[in-house]
Amino acid sequence: MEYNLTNQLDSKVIARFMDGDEDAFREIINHYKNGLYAFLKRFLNHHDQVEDVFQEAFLQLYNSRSKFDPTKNLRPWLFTIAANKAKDALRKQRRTAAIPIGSIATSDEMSFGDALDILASRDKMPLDELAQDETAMMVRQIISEMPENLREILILSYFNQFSYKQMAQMLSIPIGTIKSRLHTAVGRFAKEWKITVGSSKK
Amino acid sequence: MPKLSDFEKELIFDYCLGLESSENHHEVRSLIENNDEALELYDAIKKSLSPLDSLTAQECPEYIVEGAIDRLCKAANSSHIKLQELLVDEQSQDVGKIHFWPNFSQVVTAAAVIFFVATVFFPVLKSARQNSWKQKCQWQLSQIAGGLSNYSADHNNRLPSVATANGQPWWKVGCSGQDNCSNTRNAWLLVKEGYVIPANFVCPGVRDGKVLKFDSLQAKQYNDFPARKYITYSSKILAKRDTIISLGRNPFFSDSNPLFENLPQNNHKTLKLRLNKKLLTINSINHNRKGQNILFLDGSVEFTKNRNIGPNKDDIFTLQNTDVYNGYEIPVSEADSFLAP
Repeated sequence: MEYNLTNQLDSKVIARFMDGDEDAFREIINHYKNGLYAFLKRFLNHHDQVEDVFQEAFLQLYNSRSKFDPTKNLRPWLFTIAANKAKDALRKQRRTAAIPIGSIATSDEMSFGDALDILASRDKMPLDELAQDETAMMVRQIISEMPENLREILILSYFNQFSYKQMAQMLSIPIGTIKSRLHTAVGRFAKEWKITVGSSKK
Repeated sequence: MPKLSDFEKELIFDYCLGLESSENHHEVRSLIENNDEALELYDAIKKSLSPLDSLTAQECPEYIVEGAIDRLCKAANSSHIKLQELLVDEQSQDVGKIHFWPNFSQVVTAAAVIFFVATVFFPVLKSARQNSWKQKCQWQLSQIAGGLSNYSADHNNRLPSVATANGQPWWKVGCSGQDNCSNTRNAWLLVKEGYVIPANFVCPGVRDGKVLKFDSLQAKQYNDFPARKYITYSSKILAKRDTIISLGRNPFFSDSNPLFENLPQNNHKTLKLRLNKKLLTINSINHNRKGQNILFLDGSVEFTKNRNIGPNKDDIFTLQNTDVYNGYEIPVSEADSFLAP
């Protein structure tokens, strides 16, 4: 389930928001809240951080509204702010964490061919044998242990349905890099999933 | 049939993730429909990605949205304060010749603006903040409901209970001995066994509340919350251990009971409390006496402006036919809801 992927906000709401209208700001929050909340839940996986980053992202959106080009889509702008805030929160957490956390793992690049080999391998993916909750828990674990740059691309593309072009603009990196990171992220997810499911069956 | 090119494979990959361009959409669909290798690759990628669909999106809790608005209001207010400080600085600077009347009129104008801003914004901000706390409190109680449900599912449908027998005290929060002497020990089981995090037992509306920062190992060494400030909710006093209680609109947790706000600091002292008219009517302190959030055993959470619940108008903070409390009284029947301490 995803929210408001295609429905654009009324341009009048955007115009009122640009003028600092608080009601328009509230409408914007209500329009994007579920999509952004879902993105942060998947990216951060820690409730306190999600709450804080969510609120900070909307505050910055409001405070930097004069820099927004109203002819463009507000959604990538908001997600860019949120992604940067989320990465800041993770960096802060890393500075204070005594135990190494998954997000600082290395992200060895995987070629498209290697990723396809993993995806197309005939190993069983016995999803049906697992309960929904169990599957979700395992998937969450694998995603949380992914390097931050791969996790970000996977969530933005698969769950939030941003295009290559939008992601390249949001993250300020070339489309080619976005593609290779996504291939690596998907290949890595498939590999880890097969290992996890295989070990849980033993 | 010719083998798929790298470009075609990439098209199929993009299609599986919904990333294909509109120009390539029909091309890739026709490729999958007419080429067995393409179909096989499409199926394999889709199947590999399918576990991701188990991560269903949750709706954003309303208190987080209210918190964002609240923070915006606070930021706006701090700008006003900054503006006032700058105004005061500006006015305190020596500018040579003093013109009393222009300065006086400026001061009066500034004071009027400050007074207007204060009278308009402060009640609005206060109300927004309290509303946000109320909603966060409801969310926390719903998390406790989730913990109770999971605990019950793992323990033969029993609720967490460590024997509250007649004659044993239920008010000595933080009592570390082996004997049961506090009703909060039941809630502690949820923390100890990892069903609910300690932060969810501290109502955000309580100024003196403090979140316990224990890891699971430390939690296991305790039998109760270390002090009252770490749990600012009251829970149902059960008539006896393993009592069968009906689910549904049965109050189980609530904001703290106003009768027991000032418990003796020393657990060796005795508790003696006589009801008076005020104690019989005031609401919990958690939300400024305006009402209390109540968690029912059906998992619902409600904010009520008075303490009398259900068709019998049972007061959740008192026992029926009891005017004096020594801290060990228990209900005669489960129909008499009593949430304490």
